[in-house]
Amino acid sequence: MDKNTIIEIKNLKKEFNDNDTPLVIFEDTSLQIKDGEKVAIVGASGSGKSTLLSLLAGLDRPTEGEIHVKNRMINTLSLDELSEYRNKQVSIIFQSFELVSPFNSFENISAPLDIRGTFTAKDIEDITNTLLQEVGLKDRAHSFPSTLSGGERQRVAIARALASNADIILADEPTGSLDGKTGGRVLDLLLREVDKRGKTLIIITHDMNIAEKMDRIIELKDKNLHEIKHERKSV
Amino acid sequence: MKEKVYNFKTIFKFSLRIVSREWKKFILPFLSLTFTTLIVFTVLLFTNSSSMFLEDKNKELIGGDISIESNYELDDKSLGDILGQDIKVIDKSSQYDFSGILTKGDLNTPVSLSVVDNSYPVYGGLSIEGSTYVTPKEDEIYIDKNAQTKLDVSVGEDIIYANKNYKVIGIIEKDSKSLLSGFNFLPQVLISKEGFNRASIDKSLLRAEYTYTYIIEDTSKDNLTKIIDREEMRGVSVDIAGISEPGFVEGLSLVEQFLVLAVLLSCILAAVNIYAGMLYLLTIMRKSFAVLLAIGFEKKKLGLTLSLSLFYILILSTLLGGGLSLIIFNFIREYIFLNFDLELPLVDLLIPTILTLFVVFSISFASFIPSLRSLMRLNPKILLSGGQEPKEKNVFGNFIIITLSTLIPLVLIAIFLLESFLYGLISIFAIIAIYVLLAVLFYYLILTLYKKRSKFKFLTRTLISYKYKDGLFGIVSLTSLYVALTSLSLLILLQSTLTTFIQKDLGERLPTVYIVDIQKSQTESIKENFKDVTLFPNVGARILFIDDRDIQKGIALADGSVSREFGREYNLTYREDLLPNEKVVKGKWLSGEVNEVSVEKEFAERADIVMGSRVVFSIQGFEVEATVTSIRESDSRSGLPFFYFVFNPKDLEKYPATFFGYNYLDGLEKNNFTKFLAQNFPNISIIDTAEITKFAEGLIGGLLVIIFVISIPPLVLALFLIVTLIISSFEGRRKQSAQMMALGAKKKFIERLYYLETISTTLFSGVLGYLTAILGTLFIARYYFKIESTSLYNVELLIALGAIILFVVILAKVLWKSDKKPLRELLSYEER
Repeated sequence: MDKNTIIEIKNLKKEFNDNDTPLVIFEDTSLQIKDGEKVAIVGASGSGKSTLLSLLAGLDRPTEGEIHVKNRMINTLSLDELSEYRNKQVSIIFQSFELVSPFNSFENISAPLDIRGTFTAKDIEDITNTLLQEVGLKDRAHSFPSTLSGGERQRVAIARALASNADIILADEPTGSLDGKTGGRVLDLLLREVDKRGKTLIIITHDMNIAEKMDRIIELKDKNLHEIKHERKSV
Repeated sequence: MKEKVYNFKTIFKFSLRIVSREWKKFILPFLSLTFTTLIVFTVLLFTNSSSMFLEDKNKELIGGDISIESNYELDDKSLGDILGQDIKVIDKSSQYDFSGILTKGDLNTPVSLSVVDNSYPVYGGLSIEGSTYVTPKEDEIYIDKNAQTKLDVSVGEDIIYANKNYKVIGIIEKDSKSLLSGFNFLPQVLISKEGFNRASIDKSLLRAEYTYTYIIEDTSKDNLTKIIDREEMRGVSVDIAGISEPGFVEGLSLVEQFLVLAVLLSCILAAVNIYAGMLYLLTIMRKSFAVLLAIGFEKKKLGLTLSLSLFYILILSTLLGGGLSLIIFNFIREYIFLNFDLELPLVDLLIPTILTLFVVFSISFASFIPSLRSLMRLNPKILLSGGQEPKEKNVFGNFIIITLSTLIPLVLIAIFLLESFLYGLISIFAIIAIYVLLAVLFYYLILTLYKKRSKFKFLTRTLISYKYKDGLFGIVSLTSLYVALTSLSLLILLQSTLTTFIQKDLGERLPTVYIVDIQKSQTESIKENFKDVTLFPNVGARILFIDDRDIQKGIALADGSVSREFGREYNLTYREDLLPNEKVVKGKWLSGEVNEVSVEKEFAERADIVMGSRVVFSIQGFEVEATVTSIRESDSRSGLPFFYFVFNPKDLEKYPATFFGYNYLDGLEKNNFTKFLAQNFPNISIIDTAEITKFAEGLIGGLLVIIFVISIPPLVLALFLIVTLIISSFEGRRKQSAQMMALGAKKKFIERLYYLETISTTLFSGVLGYLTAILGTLFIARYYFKIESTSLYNVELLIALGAIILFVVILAKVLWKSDKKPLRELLSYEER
């Protein structure tokens, strides 16, 4: 693996057995992503974009093949090792936000730090308050997800993804549940923060306008990944 | 019209589709409703059958629906006045009892004679050795075994009463009425009214007890209670099956009261169970409903569709539950008959069916509506894509509405079961008050913990946040768990209290042998040889004055100013100590001062005797004046001697007295005792209570079986409720657990969080439930059962509660282990 490569997928295959009929999502798929790259995964509905992301996030296991993240194969990790991987190496931003409903904004953002258990209360407070400030939700720190608008929820989710300071951020249609204007703002916020921190971003989208803002565009088609050449649009 | 038909078709189509496609989600509510129907119906069948059984036993003991007893003969007008115009008599019988002497050759014995009419007995209870009872002809007589032994007579032989010959036509084996009011110490014989007339005795010279028994048309409590008020005016005693509690009958009525409580507790559990089932259903169906709303289904139509879906489930579950219940009832009834020789009667299915359907349908409806309303308030966009949810307004207001609407059917049931509007209302509202109190307590506890959550570790902090955010559902779940565990604890404690009472107080205190007609000179020798025998002196006396009231003059005037009850001869006794069945309720027990007297409480109330009252007695022509220094409560149920007046020994020892006594002896000891008395003191009569005890023991055994059988279904229902709540809680937490794991929480952390939540809520509800049950048992035992001894520490219950916590842990573990759904699927972004 190239020393700049942060993620490497080798001969990946994923199939689901629905009602005893195997459904192959992709097979013999390979991909390399470099540290600090911003990559868009595009494709038709049902092509397996989210499945690919869930494999990268360690939420599911491939049927065949290997996934290496920072020189470590993650598809053989135990459940606890995968949890630790999700806490330290990757952060996930979900289309449906997936905020923990009994936690307020502050608690949702600080949850990965609490789970890690190595931070002092003061550190957690400082990091969380800074992030709240950066995503413009300082005054919504004590609000519960159910009282936030969609845009606010996604900003909390972005802050949460940044809180753990993981090198890789996986975002699954982060603006999919938002209206165009709010979506644009949320995306700008995400790209600005990712650039500022030098993180690797893999974003799932079906919107080519969003994809074109990334360094690379990879299309998932015919059970395989194909790179689409493009000129990156400025944010 | 066309549109209406179309709407109905759509609703019908969608409701069928929801049930058939989403059937997995209906499993738990279906099981819950089936199980609830099964339990409520089974409990009602058993309580109805047991009530009929107990009523039969009750009537057997009393001799009819109503029994009026008097020290003087009552004419038809007086009896009509006591019964009242509204009581329709189906059958009646009258008898009088007095003592006399029977002879045969050189042998003679004092006996208690019962003179009966042709209708006697109006209700079962009299068995004759080797034959059946028929009214004796004018020259015929029935005698009991005791008289048979004393007179050495066989069936077919003649004996003499008042110089007339009577042929013995049968031996009385058992007269269940003998358990009714203590024990008759004299041998019993029975003759007809014609037979008594043949003896040409002036009835007015006898000190007779007159008994009038009735079978009436309407035996409802309201109808019978009216008689109680009328009888008090006339100095007569009226026993009413199911209302009066003389002697052993109280044991039966206690069990009936327990049955009513068991049904009520079952209904409360049923309500909570159905509510939990509905809440679960509506929670997991939220998204499906939202989809229907999103595709343009009107809210009203959706409400009707859901109601119709629920209706199918209700119909199916009540049919299945009802059918299973009938099978179980017949199986257990057969089992009880084969193993305990207790034949519970078959019951009319109409009332239990109506009651069960009412309970299940009305509670389902009452618990479905508030949940549906809260669901309808939500906008489909919020449900589908998670927009801003309206803030839960007026949590306590909603809680009160849900509680009240769910409990309204319970109030109606309680009124029906307790046959009293007031008691029904009070009992259910007391339960609501406790329920709401706990909900408030729980809410504030969580609120306080939530405000201070930053002081706790992340695990505890997460649990506190979960509980806080659960809001109304959390409160209802916890209070439901509390209700289940309280009901369970209460039922076990009451069962234990009642079992102890029936076994110890009613059973074990019953002496095995009585001895009567002991002379003062014989007492020392008896005590020397048999130390455990307890002897009581009897000094015959009449009351002359109570304070300034001249009793004998008042009776002679017959103006109703003095009840004729006080004109009879009373047995005074003297001793230094209280008996185990006695308790001083006012004043101090005899201190040794001159002419103190202790009076029994109920007699004191009837005779207007208070502390410091002056009572003048006539003993053998001597006047004895005594001052009342204590009022005693005496438990007459135990079969132990019962006296109205107790003196200091030194005040009465100088007067002539006969003694009687009792002892607890078995087998060889009893033989030795009998032999000793027969050899040394042939004048003393020995009464073996074996026959009576056998009947009493059989009855006690039956009562215990009934209590046990009735207790089981509500306990199972409580357990089922716990299962429903745990599964609901597990379902509710799956998503949050998945979210936490996506953030990096390890499985162990989630597992610990899950166990901590399940166990802490069960433990919290269990401890509170046990404490509430203790208070409930104290209250019910004291004011409803009217028994003093309560069983509050119960090893079985503690084991049961421990077993429930273990069961909860195992269930939680099983649910946890069986959840194989990948994390990816639990997170909604990829629902497959």
